Amino acid sequence: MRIVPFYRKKKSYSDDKLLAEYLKIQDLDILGELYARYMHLVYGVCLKYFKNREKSQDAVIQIFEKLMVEIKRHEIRNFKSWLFVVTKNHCLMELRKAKPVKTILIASDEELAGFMEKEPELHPIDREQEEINEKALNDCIEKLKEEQKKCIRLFYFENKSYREISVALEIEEKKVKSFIQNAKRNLKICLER
Amino acid sequence: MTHKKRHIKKEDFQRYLENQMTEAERNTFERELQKHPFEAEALEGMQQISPIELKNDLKELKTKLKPVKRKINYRFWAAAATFLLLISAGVMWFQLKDRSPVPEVAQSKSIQQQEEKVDSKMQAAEESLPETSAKENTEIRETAQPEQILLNTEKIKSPESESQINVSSDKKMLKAEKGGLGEQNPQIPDDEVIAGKAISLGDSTPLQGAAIVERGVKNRNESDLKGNSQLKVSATSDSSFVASYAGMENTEFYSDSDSAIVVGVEPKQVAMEEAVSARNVKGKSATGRNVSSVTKVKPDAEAQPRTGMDKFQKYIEENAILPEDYDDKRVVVKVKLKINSEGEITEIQNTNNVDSTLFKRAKDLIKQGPEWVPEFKNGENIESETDLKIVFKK
Repeated sequence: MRIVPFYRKKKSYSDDKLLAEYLKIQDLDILGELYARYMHLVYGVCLKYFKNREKSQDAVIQIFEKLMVEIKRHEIRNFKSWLFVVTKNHCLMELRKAKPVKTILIASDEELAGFMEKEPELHPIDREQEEINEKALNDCIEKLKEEQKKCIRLFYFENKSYREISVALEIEEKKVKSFIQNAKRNLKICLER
Repeated sequence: MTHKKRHIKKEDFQRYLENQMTEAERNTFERELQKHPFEAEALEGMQQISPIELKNDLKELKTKLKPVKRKINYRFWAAAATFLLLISAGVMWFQLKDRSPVPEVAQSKSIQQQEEKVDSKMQAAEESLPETSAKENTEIRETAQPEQILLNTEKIKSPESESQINVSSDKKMLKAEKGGLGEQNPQIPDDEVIAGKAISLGDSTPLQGAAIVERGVKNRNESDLKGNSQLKVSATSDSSFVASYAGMENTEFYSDSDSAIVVGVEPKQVAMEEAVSARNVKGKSATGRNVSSVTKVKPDAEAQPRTGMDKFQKYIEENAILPEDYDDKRVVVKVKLKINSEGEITEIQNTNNVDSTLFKRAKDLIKQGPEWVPEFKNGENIESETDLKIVFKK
């Protein structure tokens, strides 16, 4: 049995394991390791809301500090989704402080609990091949509006990137993304019937 | 499960943003993002800045987080330490507040063996109290806090040696000491030592800097932190001594050998001239004078049970039981007590008109309770009235 030093092991531990380890021995370095895995995502989301690098960097640190407190208060099943909610809430709260416009928090504590239970459910079209009911899906796609239909087909069936689709259809990438989102929404409604 | 293959890595973001991916890779990445809202939103944010800025920012953040981890540990301990400090500071402040020199009771502090002697002196002084106290009382009352220092002095015959001077007046012991050491130093005439302890009357805290000075001679000693002072005096001298303290009138006294002298140093007041003039009177009456001024300050007090109001209330509470045949769970009886100057209860009135049985019970309770102390005002006991509330409970 080779003795692998803990800091090496850390890299290959799952989130759950790391979290449990942290709760057990309270070593901040472990929490740091866990946070490091998702820090880029936290930063990215903050950038999206604040549109400011300085502010976003401060937020990343503040959220880490928040983690330390909150981690002990909740039972966290899925660290990543929980971190996402915490990040979003933090950003929204900060924005609310700056502009006293009504900003609704993404989730209350109870909803947070729900989030921590599982990953959000995937859209049928995003699921693994085997799960998809192909016929139903295709029928619904047919029912889509022209642009939405095209985007879906190109993206999912021909595996084209946004960039390629944008070039092919001569529309902005942003528009491509929004068509795809809308299409998915419509497909979901259709499939649930 | 092919999940692992499609798992988004940190580097993927960098590559996507720097356009280092093939179109096929882009599609995979983009489709993957559809499944992960966290990553999706993160990418949106990242696209606000340039890829290089992103790279550097993330590097910076990594280093920034390291001290934060340390800082958070410190913060907890710093907070705990500050909290403790505040608590102890608060406690100390309260202690100091209570110990400020406000004389409420003129208790003389004296060294144990001298207590009886001092007591007898005080009694003598108290008799001479009445006529003088009125004058002085009015004067003193006008000032905020008449500070009084009690100087206990005692003459000890001791040789000029380095041995520890024992502040006791045991004659036998002193003589023995004197005799023994006299052999060692036959030449040197025995000096006497006036040992004094200066304290503030209000709370018996020692006073530093109270001076004893031998009159007419350059001989002076000041009390130390503990209030102790020692003045060496030649045995042949018969001069008087002056005790003084900053801000107070000096008080002169003579030392009687082998006896304790209680000396009070009084606050400087113009009106105190009369009291001070007694300074020139020699002998014990002078000291008696001072002692009397020391003892005269007894505060005004309302009439109350000898054991104190709290104990009395407790006594009432325990014994005021409402008989079963009453409907209510509790009945309040209000009474007015008349107490004469001897402390005797001359009358108990039923002020809220409860029925006579219950009132009689209340009266009995009071009469069977502790004796009462009359009201003390302006130096004497007087008649007074007091209202009491007695709650009868089942």
